[in-house]
Amino acid sequence: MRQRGFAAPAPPPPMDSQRAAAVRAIAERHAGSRGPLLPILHAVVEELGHVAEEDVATIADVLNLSRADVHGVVTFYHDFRRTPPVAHRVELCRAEACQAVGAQAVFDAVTQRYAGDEDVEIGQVFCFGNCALGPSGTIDGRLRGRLTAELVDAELEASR
Amino acid sequence: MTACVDDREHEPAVIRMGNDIARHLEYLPPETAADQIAAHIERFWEPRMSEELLVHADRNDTTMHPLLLAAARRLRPPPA
Amino acid sequence: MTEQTASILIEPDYGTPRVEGEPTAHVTIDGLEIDVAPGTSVMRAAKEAGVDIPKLCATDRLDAFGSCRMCLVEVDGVRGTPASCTTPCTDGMVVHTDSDDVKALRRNVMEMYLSDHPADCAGCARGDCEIQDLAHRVGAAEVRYGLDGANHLHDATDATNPYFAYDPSACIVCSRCVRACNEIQGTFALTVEGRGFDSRITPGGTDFMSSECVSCGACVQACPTSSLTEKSVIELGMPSRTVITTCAYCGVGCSFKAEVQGSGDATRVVRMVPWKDGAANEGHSCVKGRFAYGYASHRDRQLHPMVRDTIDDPWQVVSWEEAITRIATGFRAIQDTYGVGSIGGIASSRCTDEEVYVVQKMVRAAFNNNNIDTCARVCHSPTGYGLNQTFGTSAGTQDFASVDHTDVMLLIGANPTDAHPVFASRMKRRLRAGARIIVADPRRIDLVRSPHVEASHHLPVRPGTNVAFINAMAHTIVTEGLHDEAFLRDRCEDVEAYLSFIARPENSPEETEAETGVPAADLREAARLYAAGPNSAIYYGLGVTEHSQGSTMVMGLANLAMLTGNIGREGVGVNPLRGQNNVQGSCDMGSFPHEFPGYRHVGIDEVRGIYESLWGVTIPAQPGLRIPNMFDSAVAGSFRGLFVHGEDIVQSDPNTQHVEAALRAMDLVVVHDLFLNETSRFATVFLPGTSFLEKDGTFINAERRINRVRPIMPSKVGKDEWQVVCEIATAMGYPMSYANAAEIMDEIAATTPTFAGVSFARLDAEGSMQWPVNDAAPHGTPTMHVEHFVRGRGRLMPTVYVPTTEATTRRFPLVLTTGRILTQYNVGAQTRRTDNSRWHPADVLEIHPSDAELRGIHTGDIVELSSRVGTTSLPALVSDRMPPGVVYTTFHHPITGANVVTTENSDWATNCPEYKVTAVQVRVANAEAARAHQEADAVTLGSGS
Repeated sequence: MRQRGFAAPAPPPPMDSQRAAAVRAIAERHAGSRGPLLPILHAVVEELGHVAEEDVATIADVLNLSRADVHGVVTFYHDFRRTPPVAHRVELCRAEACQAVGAQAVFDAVTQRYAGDEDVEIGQVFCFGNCALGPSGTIDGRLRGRLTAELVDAELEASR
Repeated sequence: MTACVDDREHEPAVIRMGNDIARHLEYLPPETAADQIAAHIERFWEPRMSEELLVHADRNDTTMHPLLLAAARRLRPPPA
Repeated sequence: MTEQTASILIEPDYGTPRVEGEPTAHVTIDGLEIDVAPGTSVMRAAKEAGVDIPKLCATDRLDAFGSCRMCLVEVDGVRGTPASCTTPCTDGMVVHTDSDDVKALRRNVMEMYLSDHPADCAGCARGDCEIQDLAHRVGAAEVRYGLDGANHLHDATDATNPYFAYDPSACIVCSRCVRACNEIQGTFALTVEGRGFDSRITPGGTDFMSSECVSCGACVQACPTSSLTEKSVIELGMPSRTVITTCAYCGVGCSFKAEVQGSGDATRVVRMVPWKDGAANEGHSCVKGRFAYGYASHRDRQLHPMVRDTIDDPWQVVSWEEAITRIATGFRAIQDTYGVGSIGGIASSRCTDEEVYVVQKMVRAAFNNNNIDTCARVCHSPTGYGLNQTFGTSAGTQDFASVDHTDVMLLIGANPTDAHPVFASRMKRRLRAGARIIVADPRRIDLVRSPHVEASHHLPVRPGTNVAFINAMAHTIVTEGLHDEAFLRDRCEDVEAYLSFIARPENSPEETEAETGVPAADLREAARLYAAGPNSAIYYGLGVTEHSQGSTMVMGLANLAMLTGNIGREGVGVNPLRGQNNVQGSCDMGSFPHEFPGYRHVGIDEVRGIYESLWGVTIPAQPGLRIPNMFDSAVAGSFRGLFVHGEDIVQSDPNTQHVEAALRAMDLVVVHDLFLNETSRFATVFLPGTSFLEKDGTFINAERRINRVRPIMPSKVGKDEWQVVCEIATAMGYPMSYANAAEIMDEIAATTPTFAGVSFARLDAEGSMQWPVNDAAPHGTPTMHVEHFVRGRGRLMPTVYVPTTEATTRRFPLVLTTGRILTQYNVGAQTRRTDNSRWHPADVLEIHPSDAELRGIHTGDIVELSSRVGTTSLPALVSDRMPPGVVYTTFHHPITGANVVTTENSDWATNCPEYKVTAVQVRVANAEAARAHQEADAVTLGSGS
């Protein structure tokens, strides 16, 4: 706790010092390169699963940015997830080409079907570059075209 | 000689302050140092403070730094 | 120049910052022709030509951003409609700001803003929201999107900061607040989170109070809607009138627009807004000047004179006449018994020059002695001595703007982000632009490393070893041949003696390393960096002066600047960061026992003659008593009466027991102040004073800048302070009176050569001026010692390191050093009576983890801090900002009693107390002491705002 003339209103949440050390190591690994913040955030998500609240302060400290600076970047990109990953992630394209072939309906159906399912997360992407085979999406990282809600179900079954 | 640190709050203020000036001008040749200490006291000290110091000097007070004593002599020669 | 307006002063906003250069770009805007410097934005050129292009995200204090899309224009030969804020002028450009297409576009953009703006926007209702103004201007009568689409109208307000609220429902994400926090303040506490429609401004994902925000108010000032608004405006409504005045906190001396309602006794401050044309602050402020003015109307404010027979009796309210008579007869009686020199006065470093001048005049003309001193004694008196010896002047050499030309800063014994925040923001801006900084400080202060700023070197000089350190720096420069021989030859004297002294091996970085704790290799690199410049500037504070070798160290800094030729132009110099709002002025006004106004010794017959003939009295040619001497003499029985003006010596001076013993020994202590402070516990006469909101006069800041203080309301106590002092003198038999404060300044100007050209009228015309102001420099003097030093040649003084007698021992193995914090100010008399106490409700003892572990101390524990003169207790904070062996605290709260432990040690030349080095021991307080501390703490906090 640094005293900047500001008394902390409540004690901060206990820091997982092992995680903090891991994040610091990742940050220091990239700190010397140009534009290190994005590579660091990618690496944190890749190696530790998500960007936790306390990671922001660690990364800010290594790069000598403010916490607000890092927070702004983290929240700008959906891929820098803030919550630990769940078992399965489905990402559906909602851009124009896929919309033209019914992507909205697929999205609505899938979202409704898995609402409340703790193991499945539905996200949105704007273009995989797979437009000729829309509606496109990824299921646990596997890109598929001509998706329907049923096909999404099948892919998820295959993953489990 | 300069009193040790524990005595500083008990020694007379004029002795403590005068000795401080002496120690900080000690690097000069003794005559120059004594001149400068005397000049400093004349320039910055209230007359009653100087007088109190001179009374100590008249008595050859051994707690006075030798350069301070020398400076005091320049402000008032020792009694015959 | 309007200093007092009958209405609100709205300064013109040109949209983008001024660009330097010759006006060689000829542009035509809506048929109007104007010449501007190339690179000036079209928006600014238009404004200068008289065309006001609508804007929301642009303001001339920030670089152009181009996000709001309101300022679109058409330019001949350019496709589309570029934003005028991000389009630079080129020679021959022809611009159309008001074609039908542009007007239609603006309406459309406005419609989008209105579709997500509260219909019941409080700011619009107040007339405080630019959305409403613009909507009228561009004529967006209907919102074709309707008002029921996706919007942010239900976003919750963040009112956690005591002074302002953030209402996201009115926010247009123009990001002016984010950019103000980045570019002006340099804290980077705000950001835009999310993207697209979900973009929202946030202080880093938390609320304002928990964030990195330092509450400077720049974002509130920048916000074009009412999303960020002062709570006082929400509560009181919009102001109706502006008075331009000067802040009464620190030595930066920010100029403010006091925006008020009402008039006369019913005047109420709605808010203090920094004045863009303020030369010291250029439109910026800190939490104290911006928001913490509430103390002036706090319930603790005393409004009536009071007397009592003994210090154990309760106070009785009396008339002014009775109080003044008691003072006059009391002081005279003491003099009759104990002699002329048995009474004296302490002038205030917080009051105006005119008030201080009158106090020292009272002492010299009515008391008939030179027993006048001021708080500069305990802070920058070594600056006075040291710079006088070396340069011939007792003040800094530059102005604040000089830092914009600095390449290397050497910051020593100062913590500007806490103590001079507005100047620190300027330093940070320059550092982000590529300048380097060397920080010499035992603690890892913010300027060592904080977002976007990193020092090239942090040299953790052990407290008490400054002179050894600066000698090693100079040694490096000289022995490596990095000194400026031409400068030394042409501009300095006593050069050879100094060079051979500094080259001695005992002054080398290697031989001083063990003493200073600064690794020799680091020191050498830092010295080389400073010598390389090309423009190197020294900024220093009380970590240099409040030492037993304070004066020697100041001379050491002057030597360093002379050695490298860093004097006499912009970007360089020796810059003392003066603490108080008018400590510079107080010194300038001769509130010294040995000097008249203008730093002229009382022994100089011609100078004394000026005052003797003007005042019609005889003035002693010998110096009077300094504050510490007054205390010593009081205890000895020869000094028995004291007039204390705007100072709380019991809380701020070292060795509290000694100060209290001295005051108890006196027969008459008079306190003239806003509140019943610690010193008033020993007084038998109390005179109520006026706050800066009621004063008419001048303050002088660390730049030697004379700034006007203008009254927002008449005196709440029936008299001006200078009037009261005149009446005391008159009652003592020396008639003294002035028609107004301006007359006092006229007398100062007539008798003090460095102020010869100064008057209220000149100051109103110029805004402010830096002394010397005379025929040679009728508009003032930003940079000093340009052609030659004030004393002719600069004098190089050998600075032999003499260790302080305050050595650590087994009994007291740690060193205590003290300092300040952003939100509280000095003894806290003002800031403790505002909401600033939410941030710093108590002084804490910062202690390094290894020292803490040894003693079983954890953050939050109440610890006992003891020295050879006293003991106190306070909460601990374990922090690795401290080096091992050094502990640190502040002195803002009387209950802390930090000065109970500081000693009688002082600077050899000026008696400036050695606050920065006290040998102490720290241990966990026993349960009883801890409980007592907590109880006393609760009582103090309870009596706060």
